[in-house]
Amino acid sequence: MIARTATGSRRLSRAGTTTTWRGLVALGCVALSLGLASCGAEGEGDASDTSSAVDDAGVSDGDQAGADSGGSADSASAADTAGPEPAFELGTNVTGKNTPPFYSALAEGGTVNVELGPQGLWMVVLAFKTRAMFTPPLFLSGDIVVTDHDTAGSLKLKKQKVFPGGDGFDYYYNFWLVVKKPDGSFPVGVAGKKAVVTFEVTDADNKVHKVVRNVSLTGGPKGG
Amino acid sequence: MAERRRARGLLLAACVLHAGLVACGTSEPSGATADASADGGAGAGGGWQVALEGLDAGLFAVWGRDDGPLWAVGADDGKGPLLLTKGHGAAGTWDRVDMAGFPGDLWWACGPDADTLYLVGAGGRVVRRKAGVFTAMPTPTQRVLYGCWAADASHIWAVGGDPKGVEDGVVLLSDGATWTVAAGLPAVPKGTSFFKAWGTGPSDVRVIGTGGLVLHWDGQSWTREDLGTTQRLITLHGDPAADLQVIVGGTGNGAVFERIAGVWKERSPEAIQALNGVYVRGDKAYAVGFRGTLLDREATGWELRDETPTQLDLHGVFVDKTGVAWAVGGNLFSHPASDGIILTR
Repeated sequence: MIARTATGSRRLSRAGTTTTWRGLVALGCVALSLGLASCGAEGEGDASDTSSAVDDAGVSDGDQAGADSGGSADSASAADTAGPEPAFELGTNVTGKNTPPFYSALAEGGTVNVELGPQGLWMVVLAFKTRAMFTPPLFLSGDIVVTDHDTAGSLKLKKQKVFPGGDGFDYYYNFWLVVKKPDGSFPVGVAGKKAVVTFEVTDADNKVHKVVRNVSLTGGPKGG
Repeated sequence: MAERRRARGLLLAACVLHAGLVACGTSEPSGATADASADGGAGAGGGWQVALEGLDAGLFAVWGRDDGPLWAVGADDGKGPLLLTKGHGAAGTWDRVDMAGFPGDLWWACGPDADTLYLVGAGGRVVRRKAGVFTAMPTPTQRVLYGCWAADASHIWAVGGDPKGVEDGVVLLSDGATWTVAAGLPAVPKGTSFFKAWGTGPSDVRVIGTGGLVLHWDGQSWTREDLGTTQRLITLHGDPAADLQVIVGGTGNGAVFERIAGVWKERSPEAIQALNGVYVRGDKAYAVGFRGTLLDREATGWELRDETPTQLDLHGVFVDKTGVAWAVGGNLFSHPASDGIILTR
C-alpha cells in the first residue's frame, strides 16, 4: 500500500523543483556551490553576461528596481535586502532537467541542438534565468526561424512561473520549441544552418523583455 | 525523504510475483481510508492536489470501468511497467501490481467488462488480465501501441506508431482472442502515428493521430474527417449522454476540438502547453498536458487552472464513478519516463 504524501512534499512540487529525493540531492549540490561558478554549470551563466543581455535588450535597470522576481520568496527577499541588479539571460537546458547544473547560457552566435523529443517532435529546448525583473505570472513567446530553409517554430505560453535555483536567480526550464516545416513535417536538413531565435517575456505589469540570438543549428532529422 | 523511501518500499512490498503468469494487486485496497482522506484529499477544496508522487516511473494513463477498479499505467522502471490499482473514490490507496514478466512501457488501459482488462504499450505489447490473470497476447506489430478502446468483448481496438515518425503507424482490431491489422484504412502520409481510438459502439469508432488525422469507422468503412488542422491529435474521449466528444493535442501549443451535434469545432485556449489527455463524464470535462497543465471545461470554454500543484508533465486524466478526478504523469522527457505523479480532485 502507498500512503499519501505529506504536505511538505507537495510544497516541493509547487516550488517547481524535482519532486523526488533526487531533486533534493541536486538542490543540495547547488546550495553547496554558492559563491562558486555552480555545480557543473557553464561559465557563460555569470552575472556580467546576464547584465549584458539585459542591456542588449534595452531594458532599463531603473524600470526593474524592486521588481518581484517571479514569486519566489527567496529571491524576493534577496532583492529587497541586497538590491541585486535586474538580470535576464536566455539559455537552454538538458531536456527534461530542471536544476541549475543542467542550465547553460545561449550566447550570440551560439549553437542550438535540434533534438527529437519523446513526444515524437523535433524541437529546441530553451530556458532562461532571471533576477529582480518580472512580476508573475509571465507570458512567454519563443520563435525560431531557420535561415534559407522553410523551417520555423513558435510557442506561446501564458500564466508561467519561474522557480528559485538557489543561486540568487530564478529559472525557467524546458521551453520546448517545436521546429517544423509549414506542413508540419520534420525539419530535415537543418544541421549546420543558421537560425534566429527570438524570446520575449511579458510580465503581469505588461513589462516586455525581448532577446534575439543568431545561432547555428546542430542535430535534426537526417534524410532527404 | 524518509517518508518517500518508506512509501516506495511499501509500494514494492505490495507486489506479489507469480512465475509465468501474474495475478496480484487486484483485490480491493485495504485499510488506508484514513490516509487517503487525510489533509484535505479529493474534493476538499475543489482544486487539484497531489495524491501520490515520487514514483520511479512516470505514468501515462489512468482509467477504470464503473464496475471495476481504477488502473494507472506507465513506464518500465526496470522492475516491469508501473501498474497501480485502487477502488473508485478518494478513499483507499494505490497498490502496485507486479508486472516484471511483461517488460516495456505500458501506455494505455481499456476493457469491455469488469472481468477483462487490456493494457497496451511498447513493442506492440498487449497484456490481457482476465479473471485476475495477466497474459501477453501476440500482436502483428512491433510499433508502440499508444491507445486502446474496447467497444465490447469482441471489438477491441489498439492503435500506435513509430516514436520517430518514420515508419507507418498501425490500427489493430481484436475479437477477444486474436489481434489483426484493421483493413480498409484510407491512405495516410508515411510515418503517420495513431494515438488513440474511442467510440460509442462497434459501429462508431474514431481513430486520431498525427497531422490532424481523424478517421471514423461506421462498422462498414472508414472515412476521414477534416478538422482543418495539421496538429497532432493525441487523445479523444466523449460522453454520448452529453452529446460531446473532445480531442486534445497540439504541435507546440495545445489544441482542443469539440464535436457537438455532429460538428467539430476548434476550442483551443490561447497560449497553453500541448495537451495529452482528456476525459468527459457528464458535466465534468478535464484536459491535461505538459508542465502540469490542467484545463477545465467551463461554460465560457476551456480554462487553464492557475493553481497546478506540479510542473511535471501530465498525460492522462479520468473521472471515476464517484466524481473524483485523477490525473497522472511524470517527467515524460526522461528515458524512461520517471518521477510518476498522481493528482486528484
